[in-house]
Amino acid sequence: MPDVAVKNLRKDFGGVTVLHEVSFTIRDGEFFTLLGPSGCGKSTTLSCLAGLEQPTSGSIAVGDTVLVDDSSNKFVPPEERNLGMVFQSYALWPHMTLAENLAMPLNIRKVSKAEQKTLIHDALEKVGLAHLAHRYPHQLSGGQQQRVALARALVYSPKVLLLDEPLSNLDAKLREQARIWLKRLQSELGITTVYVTHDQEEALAMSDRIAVMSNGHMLQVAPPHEIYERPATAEVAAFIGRSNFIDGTVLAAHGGAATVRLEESGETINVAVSEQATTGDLVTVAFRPEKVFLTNRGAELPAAAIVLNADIITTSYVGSRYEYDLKYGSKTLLVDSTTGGLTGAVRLVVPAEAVRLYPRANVVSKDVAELMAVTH
Amino acid sequence: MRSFTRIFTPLQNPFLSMTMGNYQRIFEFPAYVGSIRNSLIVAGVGAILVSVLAVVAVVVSKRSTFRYRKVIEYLALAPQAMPGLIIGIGLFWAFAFMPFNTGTLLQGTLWAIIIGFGLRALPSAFGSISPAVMQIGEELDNAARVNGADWLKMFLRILVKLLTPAFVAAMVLTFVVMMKEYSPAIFLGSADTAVIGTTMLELWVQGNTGSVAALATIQIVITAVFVGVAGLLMKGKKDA
Repeated sequence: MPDVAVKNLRKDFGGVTVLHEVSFTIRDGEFFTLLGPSGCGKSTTLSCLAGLEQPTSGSIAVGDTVLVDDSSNKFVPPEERNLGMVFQSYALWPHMTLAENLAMPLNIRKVSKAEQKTLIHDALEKVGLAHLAHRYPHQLSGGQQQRVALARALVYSPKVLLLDEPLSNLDAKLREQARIWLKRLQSELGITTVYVTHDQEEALAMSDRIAVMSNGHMLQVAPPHEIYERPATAEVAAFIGRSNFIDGTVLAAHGGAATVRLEESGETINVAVSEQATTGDLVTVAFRPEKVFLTNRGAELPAAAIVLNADIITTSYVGSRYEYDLKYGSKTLLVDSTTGGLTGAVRLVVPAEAVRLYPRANVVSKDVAELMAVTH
Repeated sequence: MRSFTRIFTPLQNPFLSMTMGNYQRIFEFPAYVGSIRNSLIVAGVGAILVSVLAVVAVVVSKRSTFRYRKVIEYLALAPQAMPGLIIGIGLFWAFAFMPFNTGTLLQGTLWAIIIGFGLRALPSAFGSISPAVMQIGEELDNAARVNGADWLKMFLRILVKLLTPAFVAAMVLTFVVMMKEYSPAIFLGSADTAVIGTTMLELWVQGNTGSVAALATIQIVITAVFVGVAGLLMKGKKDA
């Protein structure tokens, strides 16, 4: 199965650009996820791959087959692309039984009746629904419909499998099961898969690589571990998992380290930086709530850590851990801890390697910022 | 009641003047029977043609990327706002000005009346099919396309099948509308192409109110039978 190469893909809708020159390559057999909030352009990208939308410019190729190329004005219609797609609503044809649903693409490809029978049986077997072949879609549960939709997308051995939020209509428990099942099926088949979701947990759990999208831009393309541990931008850090952000200014920078004054408190910290930072840069310091810990003031401190003085406002017990809201200047910081019962003035210890430095960005929406502001 | 009595008045018990004469008069004159037959042909043929046209118009206006799809929707709905007489006069002149005298092939024939009545019925057919098309998720079309069906195959295998109930409903509706219609026929019809509506008008002018009532009754019976049969057919289809 071939690579999928997307180059400079751009899509305008009536003067609004929803995709800005997006480029990426999906490797053979890879589970590739397009992740982002609604309206980020991930579904448009998938539609362009499927041929349901015509991109304004750019090119798409699967292996040696060029599907779209604006320079030669080429546009292969969806029916000639031989791709499999599962839709969010499953889009099973309600007037046909499962077997008939699966037979449709085979009929169009003029597969003989005998061969159709084995192909349909095999595909339904793969999703564990061979015994329901003569039911109608409305007689099945949501989870079963989702599996039929997948069987229909696989029955004609497409080159690439496109999945448009296929799990979003399932309830939470079922979704987790379906996630594992789908991932296993995909790796068994070894089919190149493009998966669209706004659910970060789903993306992290299933993907070989994730492309994080926002406002029609691709922010970062990397394996799940790297996306979570080393987010490329503050937006990625905000969207994937939870993060605390504190604005600051670079006072001095030399080599791989920088001294940053935090605006909330005037405290200065030393941070390791991967990219070039220059004195006077406005930056945002980010760290994840589970990477830090709390100690009482006056306790012994580990070396090479950043220590911030803060006050605990609220404690929430969420079962596996305690979540503390800390007042730091006018900001609220979120901290996870396994120890409960802490109150009042504490030290927030941030290991140096847990801190990321980004150019100043407003990543927190206005509503959230208002909720998090400490006014008293 | 009026159709079965010689005279209908509050001053006399209607059962004292019962008659079949009103019906007899209609069935005695070939011209009157002809008008019933004409009405059936116009409504029958027209219902099919108009419903097909309405499906095409709806699919183009709601599903295609055709530039003027909104215009098509307005065009299909516009006759609703037009008086039947205006449509009649308009078509009359349109036929008169058609090049190479092709208009004369239509003028005064049943086809002219089908076109006239059909235009009047188009908005209701459009209105009854359009919600059905909108209800069918676009993902069903897209799924067929990705699965390898070109637009035509998708239309024939998916949309047509799913639209059948709405199509039958539109056909029943247009049949009923075209059965009752008369105003465009005043300009488009000739002596041979009278429909029930125009015959009723004629009889009314003559003062034959009993026969007008009789024709109206026949019209209602035809409509009721048609709706009943269509309902039975649809029921049979659902069970299958």
